Amino acid sequence: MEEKAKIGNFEAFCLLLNMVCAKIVLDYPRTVSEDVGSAAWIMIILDTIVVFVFFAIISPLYEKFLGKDLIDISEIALKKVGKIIIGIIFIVQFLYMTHITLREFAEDIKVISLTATPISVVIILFCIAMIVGAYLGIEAICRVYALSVPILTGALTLILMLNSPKFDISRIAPWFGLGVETILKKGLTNLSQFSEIVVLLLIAPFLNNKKAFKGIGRLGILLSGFFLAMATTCYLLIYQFPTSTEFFLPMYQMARIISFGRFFTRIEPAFILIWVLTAFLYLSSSLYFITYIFQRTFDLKYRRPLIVPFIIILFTLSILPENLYSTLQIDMQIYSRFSWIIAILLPLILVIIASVRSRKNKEAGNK
Amino acid sequence: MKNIASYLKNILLFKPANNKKPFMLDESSGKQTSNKESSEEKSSHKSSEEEKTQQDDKPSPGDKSQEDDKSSSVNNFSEEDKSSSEDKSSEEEQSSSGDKSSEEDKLSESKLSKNQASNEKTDENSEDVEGVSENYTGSKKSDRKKYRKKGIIRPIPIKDSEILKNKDDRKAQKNYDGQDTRISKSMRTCLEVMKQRYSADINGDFKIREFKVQVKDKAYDAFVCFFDGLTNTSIINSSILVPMMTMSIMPIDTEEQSVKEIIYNHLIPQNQITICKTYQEVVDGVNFGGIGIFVDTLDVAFAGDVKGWEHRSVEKPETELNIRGPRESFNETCRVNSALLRKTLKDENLIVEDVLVGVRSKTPCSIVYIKNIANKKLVDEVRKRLKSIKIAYLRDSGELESLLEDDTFLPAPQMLLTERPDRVASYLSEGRVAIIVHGSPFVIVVPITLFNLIHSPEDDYLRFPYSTLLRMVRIFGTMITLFLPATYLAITTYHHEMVPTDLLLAIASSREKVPFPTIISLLMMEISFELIREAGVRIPGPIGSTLSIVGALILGQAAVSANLVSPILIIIVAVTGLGSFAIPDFSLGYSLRALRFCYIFLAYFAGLIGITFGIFLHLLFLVDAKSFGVPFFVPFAPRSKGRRKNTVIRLPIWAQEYRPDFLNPKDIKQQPSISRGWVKSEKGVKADGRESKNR
Repeated sequence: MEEKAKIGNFEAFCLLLNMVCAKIVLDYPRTVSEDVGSAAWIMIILDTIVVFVFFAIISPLYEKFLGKDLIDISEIALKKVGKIIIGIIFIVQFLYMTHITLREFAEDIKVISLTATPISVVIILFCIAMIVGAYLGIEAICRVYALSVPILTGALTLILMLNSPKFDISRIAPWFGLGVETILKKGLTNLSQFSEIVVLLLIAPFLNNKKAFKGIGRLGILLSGFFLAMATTCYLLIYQFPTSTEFFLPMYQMARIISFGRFFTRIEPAFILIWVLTAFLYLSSSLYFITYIFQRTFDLKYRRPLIVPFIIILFTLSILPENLYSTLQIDMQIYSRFSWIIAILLPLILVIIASVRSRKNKEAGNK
Repeated sequence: MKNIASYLKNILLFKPANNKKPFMLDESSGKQTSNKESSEEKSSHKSSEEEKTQQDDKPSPGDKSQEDDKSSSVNNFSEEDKSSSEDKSSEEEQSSSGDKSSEEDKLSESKLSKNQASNEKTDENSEDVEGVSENYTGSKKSDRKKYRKKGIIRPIPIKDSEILKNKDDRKAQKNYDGQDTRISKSMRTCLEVMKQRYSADINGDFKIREFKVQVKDKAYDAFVCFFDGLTNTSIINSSILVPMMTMSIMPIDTEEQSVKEIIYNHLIPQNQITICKTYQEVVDGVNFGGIGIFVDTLDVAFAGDVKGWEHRSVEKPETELNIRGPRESFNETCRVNSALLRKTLKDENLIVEDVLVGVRSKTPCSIVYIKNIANKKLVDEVRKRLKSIKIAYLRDSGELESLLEDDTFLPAPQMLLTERPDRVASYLSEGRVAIIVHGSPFVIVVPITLFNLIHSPEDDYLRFPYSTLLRMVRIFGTMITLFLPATYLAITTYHHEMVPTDLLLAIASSREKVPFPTIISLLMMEISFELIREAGVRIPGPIGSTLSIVGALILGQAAVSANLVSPILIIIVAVTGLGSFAIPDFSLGYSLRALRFCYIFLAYFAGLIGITFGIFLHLLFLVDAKSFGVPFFVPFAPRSKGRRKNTVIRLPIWAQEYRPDFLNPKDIKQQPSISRGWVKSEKGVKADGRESKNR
């Protein structure tokens, strides 16, 4: 049995930031620009506000359950059977999310560098890193987060800043892109991009300072929204819609066009570190959460034996799509549309039911 | 069916098919003799050997004193022998159960067993003539009979061989080790016990001096025992023998005092004397350069500290060189090392707690800490780990390190081993704990973080900008050691586009004539470099460094001329080597040198992605590691509360007001916020609280 992990505030914040912002190095700026054109940044800001409001509703309700995670709350709300159902839903959600991201990262790496390597080999490389990360646990992963997220954030900002000479404000015109209606409509489904904030409700019992939960969540959501918006805006400032929908890896494309003096003309391989490290961190923590939810749902004593079965499932799922295009299709057409219902709406409902129930129980107890 | 069964049985028992008697090779003549003959020869050879050993056991005629001792001891024990032989079975029970029987009983038992053994041997000899001896086959009785009937000789399994099979000896040794018998009142018994324990008849350096000591007008037999060479004989003469043999005649007011008290208070003017109640206490003292003093009629003995062995003096440090700062280093003596620390710290709260490690060696180790700074839990943990170690012999702190460390397979040292007293003193003042091992010039400091391993003792003595710069250089050196060859390989194999065109052309033209892929050339040169380095260390004296330089120069030049490697690769390997020399911690240097090869292979496998994969796993293992409960990457991962003023960079000494928070010291503040009393604070308040007029 593992010892109970302890996570510091900064580490939890870094975890949240990386989980939400990992998609920046994938195709996020392109997909949002596909959805709402040049007004992508407005939509992201709106989404951030909405998610922030959601969190503002959840956090005071959650304060009654300090030291409990989402699975405990679902047990309070829906008894044991409900806990198992909710647990399975979240496991499926995480499996879905992780296998798509695993495949996407592997495809990206294949495109960027390992062009002649079979996709399965690249996926296996990721899987090994995931196994080690999940084996050592969330404490170790979060410590790596604390070390690497400042570097990753710095490198991302550097890419954006080094591109600043190419920015042209007129490229984000028209200001409302494909229309206000589209922004609102697509904004709702794009709430899914914040799905990963659910991890905050899972790591809450591990926090050293449990009352810091609210602060970590707020700051995490705001900064994630800021980075998502900044990356997308910078991308759109260089590549105007609809050109912006053409690049497979927007951030990599931005890194490619950096030329810094006569000597440094192609420095994008140096940024591979960002891509791969972000991927390793994201995927290993996802695998950890899958095994953790499974363990908590079925009240298992050990978590580590679950790692290998789940990595086999993830590997199999990730090599199922025929190619990158079909992976992206799965991502955009299913996951992006419905993920927010499970990741944002469901926890809110659960917390409300649990708080109502616990109040009723309290009243019954008092009587 | 019966035939088949017997055939199978024969096969299983390794019996030859034609039922011929197997033959053995006679070692002496080289001829093949029959089984019976050979066993006869062996038994006769064995009996002659036994005779020889029996002769050896007898005292030599020249050693008169020993002979006298033995005869007296025989007289003393003759009665006991008789009684013991009468009640044989009860004594066997006693020896098997390992009860606290007296040393006399043990002696009588051993004699008895010898007699029994000699009686049995005559019977065994007769058996040996008939067939294979029990010792040789090593099988059970029933099996032996079966084999004897069939005339089969099996190869002797090593586990059954005579060397390992002597269970009686083991049992006796076990009983002997387990016992801690009380000292007998009879001086003769004590003498016998000591002689037996130290094998005085064959141990040349073990000395016993018998004499008489006069107390209250009565002469008592006494003896001292010690190791020649371990002890200072002049102290023995002047502080023990002379007073006991001469001062005892002097008139002393001894009416109300017992003999023990008189001897302890008046007759042994030695500064370190302990009264021992068991033999083991005396033996432990004698083994560590002490002297055992036994007096007849006393049920105690005295152990005096008369150490006087040869040891190295305090010299300059050899592995942690510096330009500024003290130039003393630890040596192999525990007390010298603790004295060096006391001399540096000059603090009465410095505790030097002794623990003996090693079941046989009983190596003195000291846990050193400052009692009102170091966290009690940390000290308890160190004490607990140290006391729990069960090892036969402990020789060096390196061995202790591997017995104490949290994670054996972590690719980084989890303790700091240093030979500099000033460095240990500085760590002790922060609230850490040091462990001194007798016999090792390296003192262990726990707990440590990764950042302590890149610090140099000189950092504290230099002005802060210089030491910060030096730390940066060292970190750069560490990075180069770990990543430079791998990055070169990754770029030349996978990421050509990363290299600017001019440089790419230069690299390409230099590699044009080289027939090998980069990985082969790189490994060739890296392994050669490691060879040169290892050879340089192993070759004695001044030749070592010469060989290293000449070897490296000639090898590099020749490799380039022979088109085995490109000149750029030579530069890469050389810079990597230089980087590795900049790592201040010896153990961390080894770790990084080994990991460098892992990174090379990962880079060959997947370029920069492989390197990142390595970094990720490396980081995961490092952040997960702990040194005595303290995370290895603290204060960065996890982030601790205290400010990071002496980790990667080093702020001025006056800015370091607090001890490291992660050590959880009893006293977190090591100096006031204004440690320089003469300076004005920024807020316009002087150090003594008065308002500055020049605001």
